[in-house]
Amino acid sequence: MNEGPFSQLLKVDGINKIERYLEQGGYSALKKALGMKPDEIIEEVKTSGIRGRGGAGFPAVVKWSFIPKDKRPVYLVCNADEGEPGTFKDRYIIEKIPHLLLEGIAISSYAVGANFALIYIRWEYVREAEILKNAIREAKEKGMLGKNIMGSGFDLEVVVHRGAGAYICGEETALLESAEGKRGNPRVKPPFPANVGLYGAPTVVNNVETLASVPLIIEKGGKWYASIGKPKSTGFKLFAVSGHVKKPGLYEKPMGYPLLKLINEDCGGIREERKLKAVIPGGTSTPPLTAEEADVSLDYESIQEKGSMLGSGAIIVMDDSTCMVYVAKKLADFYSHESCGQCTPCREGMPWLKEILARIENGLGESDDIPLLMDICTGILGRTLCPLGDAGALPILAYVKKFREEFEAHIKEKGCPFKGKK
Amino acid sequence: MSKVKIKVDGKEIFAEDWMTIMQALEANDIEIPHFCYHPALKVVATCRLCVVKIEGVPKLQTACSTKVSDGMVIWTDTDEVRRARADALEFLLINHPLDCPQCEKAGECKLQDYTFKYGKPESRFKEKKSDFGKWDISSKIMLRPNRCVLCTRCVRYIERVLKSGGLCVVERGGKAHITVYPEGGFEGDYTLNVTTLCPVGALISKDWAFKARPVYLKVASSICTLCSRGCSVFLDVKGIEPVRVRPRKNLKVNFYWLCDYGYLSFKEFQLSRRELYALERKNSGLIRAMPEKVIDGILEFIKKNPGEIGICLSPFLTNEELIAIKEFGEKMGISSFYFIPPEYVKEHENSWLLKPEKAPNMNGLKRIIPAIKNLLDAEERILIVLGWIMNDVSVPSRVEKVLLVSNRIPENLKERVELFIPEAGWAEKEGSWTNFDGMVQWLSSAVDPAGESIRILDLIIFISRNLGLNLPFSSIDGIIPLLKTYFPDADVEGEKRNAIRKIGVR
Repeated sequence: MNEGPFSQLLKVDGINKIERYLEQGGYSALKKALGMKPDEIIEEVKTSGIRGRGGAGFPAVVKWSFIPKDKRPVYLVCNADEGEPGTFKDRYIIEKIPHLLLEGIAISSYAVGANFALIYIRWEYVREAEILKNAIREAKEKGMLGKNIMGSGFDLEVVVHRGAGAYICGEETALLESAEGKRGNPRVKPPFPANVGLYGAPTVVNNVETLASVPLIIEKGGKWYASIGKPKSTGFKLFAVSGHVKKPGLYEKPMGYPLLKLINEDCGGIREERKLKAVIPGGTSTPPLTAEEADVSLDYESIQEKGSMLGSGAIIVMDDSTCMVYVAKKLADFYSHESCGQCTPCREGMPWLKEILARIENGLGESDDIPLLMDICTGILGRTLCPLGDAGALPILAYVKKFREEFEAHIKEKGCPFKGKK
Repeated sequence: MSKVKIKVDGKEIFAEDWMTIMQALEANDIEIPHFCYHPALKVVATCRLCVVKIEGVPKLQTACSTKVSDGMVIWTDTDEVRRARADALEFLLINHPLDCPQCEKAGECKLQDYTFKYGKPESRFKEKKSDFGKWDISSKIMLRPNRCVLCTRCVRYIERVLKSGGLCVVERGGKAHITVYPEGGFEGDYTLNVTTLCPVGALISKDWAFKARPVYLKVASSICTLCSRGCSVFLDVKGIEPVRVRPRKNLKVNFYWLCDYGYLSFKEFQLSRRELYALERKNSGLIRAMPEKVIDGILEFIKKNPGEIGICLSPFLTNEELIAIKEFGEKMGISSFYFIPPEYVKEHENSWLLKPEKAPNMNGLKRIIPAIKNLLDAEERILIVLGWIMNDVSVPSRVEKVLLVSNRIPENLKERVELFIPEAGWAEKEGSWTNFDGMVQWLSSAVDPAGESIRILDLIIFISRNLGLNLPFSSIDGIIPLLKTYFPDADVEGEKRNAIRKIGVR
């Protein structure tokens, strides 16, 4: 953990309390923003070039500019349903610097014309939800939220809504369904949330890290933010590193930081001096990079060139003792469990993949299972209503393609060659 | 609203600009396979079967959820589309029990039809199939969740059309399945629509289960007999026995729906509930007689007692029968017409489709014979009663003798019936009924009259000829042009003649 603005705040003891946050210059960006016109704020954030930190990497401000000017009310929803396996960056922000998030929510709400913001937080974040509720209460007492914020005439109510435990509710339209009290099934798009969102009103849905970056952009200027990182991947990014490294944890780096440097220097290298086998660059729904492919810089474009995605920035490192069939099976387990079940390819395909992978791992694989696995993945890819189908099928297809000899060895040796070595 | 031009498989077609691709293709009679799409329900685009290729769009798109735009070029049969459909069908079949030989839906099952047309011939699934059990979800419906394709038409119908609850999807992913609310069964007046909405054999009417193979049925495009709404229905006949009623799309009357009473209304017309043989009174009892002899008997009665005869009409008679009877009466000098008052169910006054008046043609009857009186006012000694009877009929004690042409003999009339001729059943005659709203609708026949039963229209024409009366028509085709005298909109020349046979005219 180093360099970036989040890291500096994270170092401050007791900054989850509003007094301490104010001492550090907190809510000054909000004050500055309330003196600006909403369009100026949107322009500033546009200049910064910040892309959505939730995983898709969609330019954050584009969503804002899709909000129709003549339809009211407008809602802002903060997506804190951090469910992607390997990801724990939003949790740090909420737990340690909740007021930074609230400040970002307030500025963004003002920019898009929302007087009501909802934080949809995953069910498992029990303590984090309490921290947020406390922070909202504190901010209201200090006049940073609620009616007539800092005498500007701008009102904002912020509400914390806890999810019910489904990964799919991190998908923005499923999130909206769930927040409305319905079954968390993704909606048909279009219409997009910017037109028909929460309770049918135009809605902006942004990730925690994106919204928490907004105060910094307002304070230091969009130009400054854009000067960090790469031309198309600007600013700082939080990387949640887990797996077979000596020092797993949260690392804040400018975009474009070399992946191998992060693993070998910042994280102290691979455990027990083993060899790197593969690394997942952006959460389990992104295809893995082999050791050869891992020589890449951490930005949206570079990783895309290698056939994967930066995703949420959850880096999972795997050493040479890892069984890739087992990894693929664990993934299929997860995605078949988390598929909402409404659309055919994902609902039926994921459990099918899971069953086949479990068979191969347990030594019951047959030679035609490998082409079948790839066929099922292609049957899911691009054919589903929401991205969850791709999120499961794309990495599983990559594991089969990139580590095919391991799958073949499982079938030939009628069992897992890594057994006992893990 | 304006028209747009799109190109489908190389052929140019026109569509309205608000339409989805599915709507545009349906309007042009181009088939796109689908499960979840239904014109009356919210689009969810989840079955992923209706995918099409749109030029310039990288991924395949679902026809049900994509709007048309001018100049759009659509391909419905490329290799990519065929593969996506076949994959979706394979996915739907991996956990499907494939119990078609014992499934009630086999023969009219969309999954079966599409698999034959678009699917793969062999299964690659080696794992264990999931099993959700099977049970009855209400007094009328049984659920077979293993056959379900999770199109959620049933759930959306209940939520969107009935604005109520009862069925829902529980669990996620491969464990997702349809079930009934834990609070209890799914009961109501409009529940059986889920069985016809269900594209597969997951929701089955208990009454229909194991009765017949759909492929062996004769189908009549008919009208429901149950109330004055007159919903358009299909009447399915096995051999000569009506076995099922299904709603028939009619956006002017019942849309896609039917009430549960309507679904089960064929039972009144089953052979076991009908008299099938001509009877005459001998001493104190009714015994079988040759139908010709009974008809001769009726002729004798009419000739002998011209001034003492009244005619009583059932509100189930068709407009054509009523017109014929009226002409016959006028020629015979019979002016006393009475009607059997239909049952009135107060609870159905504010129901969605159900009307309180439990007969289909009360409106037609009153328009054709405006001077008609209630049967209770009958003064004649002899009464000819014509048409179907559903319940007991209250005939004043003044009436001594009843000549009955109907589907049954009510208990309370048995003592007074002199002659009886069985009347043709629901699936056995054609003609039109006028519903409460003035809509003139056509019911067609599927089979010939059962047993010794006879169509009333044929009987009237026969009797008239024997009595030397000169009626201005000699068959139903001669009566249809007369309809417009009573129903100005039913001007059934030219094109409308087809309209009346299909959806009705007003």
